[in-house]
Amino acid sequence: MKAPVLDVSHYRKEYRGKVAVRDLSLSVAPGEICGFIGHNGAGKTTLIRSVVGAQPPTSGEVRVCGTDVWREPVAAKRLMAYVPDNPDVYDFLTGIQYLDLIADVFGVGTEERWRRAGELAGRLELSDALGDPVSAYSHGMRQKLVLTGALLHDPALLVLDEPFVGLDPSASHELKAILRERADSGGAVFFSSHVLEVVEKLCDTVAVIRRGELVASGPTDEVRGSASLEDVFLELVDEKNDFVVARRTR
Amino acid sequence: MTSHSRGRALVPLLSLQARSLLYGLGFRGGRGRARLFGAAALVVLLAGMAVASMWLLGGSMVAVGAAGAIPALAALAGSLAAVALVFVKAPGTVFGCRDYDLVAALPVPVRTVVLARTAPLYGFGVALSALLSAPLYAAYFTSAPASPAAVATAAAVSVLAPLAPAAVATLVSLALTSVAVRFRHAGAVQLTLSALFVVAVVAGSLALGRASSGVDDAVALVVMGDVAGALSAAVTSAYPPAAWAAAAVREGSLAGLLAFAALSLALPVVVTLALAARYPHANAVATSGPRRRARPAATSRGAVTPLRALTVKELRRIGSMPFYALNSCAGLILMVVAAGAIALFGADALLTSGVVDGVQLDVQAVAAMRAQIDAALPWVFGFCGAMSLTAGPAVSLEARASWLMLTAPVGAGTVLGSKLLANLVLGGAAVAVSAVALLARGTAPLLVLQCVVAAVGMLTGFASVALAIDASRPNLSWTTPAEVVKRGLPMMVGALGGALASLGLGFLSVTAAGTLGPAASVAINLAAPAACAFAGLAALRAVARRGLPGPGWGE
Repeated sequence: MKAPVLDVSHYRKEYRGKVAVRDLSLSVAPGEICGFIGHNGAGKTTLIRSVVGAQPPTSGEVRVCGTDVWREPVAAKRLMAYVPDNPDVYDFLTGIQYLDLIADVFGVGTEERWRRAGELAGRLELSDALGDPVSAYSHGMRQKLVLTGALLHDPALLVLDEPFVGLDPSASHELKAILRERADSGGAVFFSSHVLEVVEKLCDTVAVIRRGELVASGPTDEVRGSASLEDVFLELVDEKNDFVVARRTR
Repeated sequence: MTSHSRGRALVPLLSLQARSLLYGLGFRGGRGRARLFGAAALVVLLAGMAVASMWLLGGSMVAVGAAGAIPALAALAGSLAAVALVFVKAPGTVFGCRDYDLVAALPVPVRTVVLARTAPLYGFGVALSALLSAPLYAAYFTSAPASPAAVATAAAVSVLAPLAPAAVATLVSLALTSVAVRFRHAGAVQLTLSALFVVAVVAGSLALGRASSGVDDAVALVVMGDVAGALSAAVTSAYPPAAWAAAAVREGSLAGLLAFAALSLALPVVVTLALAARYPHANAVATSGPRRRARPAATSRGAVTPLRALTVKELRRIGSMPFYALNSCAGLILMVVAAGAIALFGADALLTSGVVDGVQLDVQAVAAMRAQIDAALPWVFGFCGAMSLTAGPAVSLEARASWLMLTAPVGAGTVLGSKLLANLVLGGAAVAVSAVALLARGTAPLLVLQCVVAAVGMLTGFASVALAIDASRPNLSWTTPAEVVKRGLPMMVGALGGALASLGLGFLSVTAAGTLGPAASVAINLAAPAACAFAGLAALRAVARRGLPGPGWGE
């Protein structure tokens, strides 16, 4: 079995004594797209922010390609990229200035950044807007810009929080293709989403979180069984169905 | 919709504005009481200072026999306060609002929405006008009969004075905003256009005043010995309706009062109705982005180091936010102006001219105090350096884009270092220009060196301290940049600490020059700023070692 790209072990997060996520463990292998689903406030963004190094865990470990995100943050961050749910970037930069900044920070060479930025911006239909200030971008264009920046350094792990929100149908289609290509080329993708149809079709594995606890995880086909992912999800997040949760948690 | 229901809709909308103000002051869900009390105390302090200043101005005018000009001046002061307030607050409050779609979708008449947005501005304008006018009138009535009618008229004029100028300023502000937003650096364009507009109005009204009388009224009346008349003429040429207000208060002119009241009440009504009629359009033009032009294909530049890339980003941020740049670089501007003045006129000439506040020296005294003056001069530059802290609020200014800083594969030292470096680049440029100016005047190189060390040392030290505080406890959820640029703890600690340290060390240096000799003051002037810089850098280094996000990042 290949070593996981993302390995979360006994993760726990408390906010002022209130437990947001308790004892959560999951892993994402190379070549795998993992969908992370849960109701609002379940703890998805909390875990994701700890994975990308934006928020320390109360306890537990987060490793990317074997590197501990909170002990060797710089080395771990070089291996991954993050697309947040709200793609707020610097309004005072133009699109190309933003991409240059990201490429410089991640140490991407001149030729490489030109090639990748050109290719990705072309696929996401952003090329014509790269000279415009970010302040003039719509939500969807910012999302595309952040996505382009995230892929500039060819990360081993791509972490996305609600990546399909605000994208037009063609960009959404292109994003799905990009995520699949990344997985096929050996990378790992971990993303949260409320769009269960996309998770069901796109993801190799799925993890379901309810009130800070992992209630199901594994290959998508196994988690959903013969039902649709939506049915399973509704069943899992229904607090009356604790016995179902106990049965599906591995 | 009935007027009753319209009134019922107005109350929650006004309440929303009040809550927005409280939120802006940091009062959130019962938290931030201390900050609110602090803001209230600051408002009381500033109000007290304004009242005292106006009282002193009024008293001085009475003393020189110009009491007759006070009513016109009071009307002008109230008007100018309202205009300044509207220019600052109307964009984002009346038009160009971020919550426009939300408010526009409410089942409330547009007039009510516009009224809810403009009424607070008029209200604050009236409060400001009353605050500035009351002490002036109090001084006026010490030399003029305070009949009930005159006092009541003065009170009415104080309330009415800001209304018409605020209404006109709203429209002018909308016009300037709609032009400015079409440029990429809208903030800088807005500031420039506003400054040009104020200059044009002042110059135009003075020219109009002269043209209408055929002679320079002020000069003519001063020649005739009528100081009050001269001042009144100058004021009313700048703002003609002030003459009606003055006539109403001074002479009990009913016609003057009616004309002033009619103008003051009619213009806000007309402007409110006009804005309501075109409100969607007004918001659209005030929020439209920069004009899209056919640009050459955007090209990436060559690779640079992360530190350099982040520093360039910080400099771009400073350049794109005139409010931030002006507030954070005021000391650097002052430093260059001071060095330029010394280069042009010489330090001795400036000290004997009386232009330096609180300094009353003659040529002999300046010559006798040469050692003390040389000991103090570097601390003028040290003070300016410590007042120039662009790095102070730089972490908080990341705000909702802070995820980029937190997920970048660089250490906290690089992130914080880039913010300090951007500050030093700007400071270094100002110090270099100042040093060249001083050397060009023939200032002794050792003294110039002390000035440079004091400026750079104090800037580095206090920018580092402010940045360390900001990195420890950033405010990433501000609603206006003023919350962190002007009212943030890091800026207050950095700037106040820098000012006090500069004054204290300057005093120490001057004392040492007098008691121990010039060598002691030179040693202090070189060693103290360096120590300050090292101490600040050590504090910043300690915070950087803890990493970002560190303790104190609100969760």
